[in-house]
Amino acid sequence: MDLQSFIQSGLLEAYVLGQCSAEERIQVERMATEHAAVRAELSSIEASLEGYASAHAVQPPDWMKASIMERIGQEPPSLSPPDAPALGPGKGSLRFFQILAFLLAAAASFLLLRQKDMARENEQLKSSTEAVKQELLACNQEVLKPDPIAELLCDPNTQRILVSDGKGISTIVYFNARLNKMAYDPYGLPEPKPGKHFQFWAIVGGKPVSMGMKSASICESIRSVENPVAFAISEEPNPEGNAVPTLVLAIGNAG
Amino acid sequence: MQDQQLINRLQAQDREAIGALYDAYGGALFGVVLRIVQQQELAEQVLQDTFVKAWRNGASYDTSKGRLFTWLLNIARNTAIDATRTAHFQKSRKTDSLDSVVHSPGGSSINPDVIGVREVVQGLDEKYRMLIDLVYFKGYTQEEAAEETGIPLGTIKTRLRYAINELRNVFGEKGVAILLTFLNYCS
Repeated sequence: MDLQSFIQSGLLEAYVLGQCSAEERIQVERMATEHAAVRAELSSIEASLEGYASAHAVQPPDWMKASIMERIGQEPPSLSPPDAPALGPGKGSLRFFQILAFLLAAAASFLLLRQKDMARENEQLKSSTEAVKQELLACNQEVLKPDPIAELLCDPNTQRILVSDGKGISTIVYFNARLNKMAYDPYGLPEPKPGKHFQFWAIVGGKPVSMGMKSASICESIRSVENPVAFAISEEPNPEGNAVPTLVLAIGNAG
Repeated sequence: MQDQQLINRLQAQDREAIGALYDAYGGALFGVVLRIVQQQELAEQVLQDTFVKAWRNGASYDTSKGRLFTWLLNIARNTAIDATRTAHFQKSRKTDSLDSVVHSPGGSSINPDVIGVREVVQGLDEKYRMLIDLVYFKGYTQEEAAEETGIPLGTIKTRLRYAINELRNVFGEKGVAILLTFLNYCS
């Protein structure tokens, strides 16, 4: 087909009205690039369409513009279409990407902060868990630790020695020769006289060895002692006791 | 506002650009749409939809592919064509000629010069006139025209295109009027 036939084929009119196939569109654009006559004809078709439409314009109703503006006012800005202009993305799509970038940055910051928060929470949890773990271990160790008074009282070889004056003083001393431990039951003692204090003694090698002042409980009364022959209670004026018994009130023989 | 400024603002998603486009081309487009859909109310709806679509697709307008008006015209034409693809419209289109149905709501002709387009077509060679009558005035698709006449579809398309070019070149603006409102020109 020669140039003139191409121009007169009606294909250019179809092209202008977007009524031709993709292949035909490519053909027209190629011919327009190569031939000024094709470009001129395309321009002439467009001008004639616009000229005719303008010359025969019909005024739309007065409310039309406001209605259109209201409708597009409710429309979000459009996204960049797939067939964006060859001139490059418009400012609209640039704005979209700016918004998208901002949203992504905000999301990333949020996630980062959240991650930091979570890391901090995780550290706190770890720390807290470690503390509980240590406490539990300590408890276990405490529980598992041999209880000296229980060991003493439960040992079948522990002797029960009554230390009594036959009147108000009557207490039991527990002694174990293997453990070399002794303890006593303080509840068997009456209240001492005013200004007086009870002190416990073990007689070792014929000499009195202090086992301390009267304790508040059997657990606190436990002491180490080797080869005692007897246990005694003295009355002392000094609340911290004395190096030797001041007044022996009661005595009980070991073994 | 110049077209280039309008284009820039349209591509920048400036809503006021639509207002400016409407001021510049609303009347011309409404005239075309009215000729296609031939119903005032439907034409009003089509024109509104046209500018909303222009707003949505403003960033896709390619200045290298044609004038701004042509871009808007094709949006309007396609929107109008979609609106006419209803059973009701097809029925009325096939039973009435363009000259007899293009009227404003008040009953007066909205475009007196349309009267005479049929006479212009009479100046064409019979083989073209017959196709223009079927496809343009009576709303046949090209396939229906091929079936009706027994002429191959490819020949129908070639002849219609040639006829349109002939009308535009020989009969001036009346030929252009047909081109503007040709629904089944190539489809």
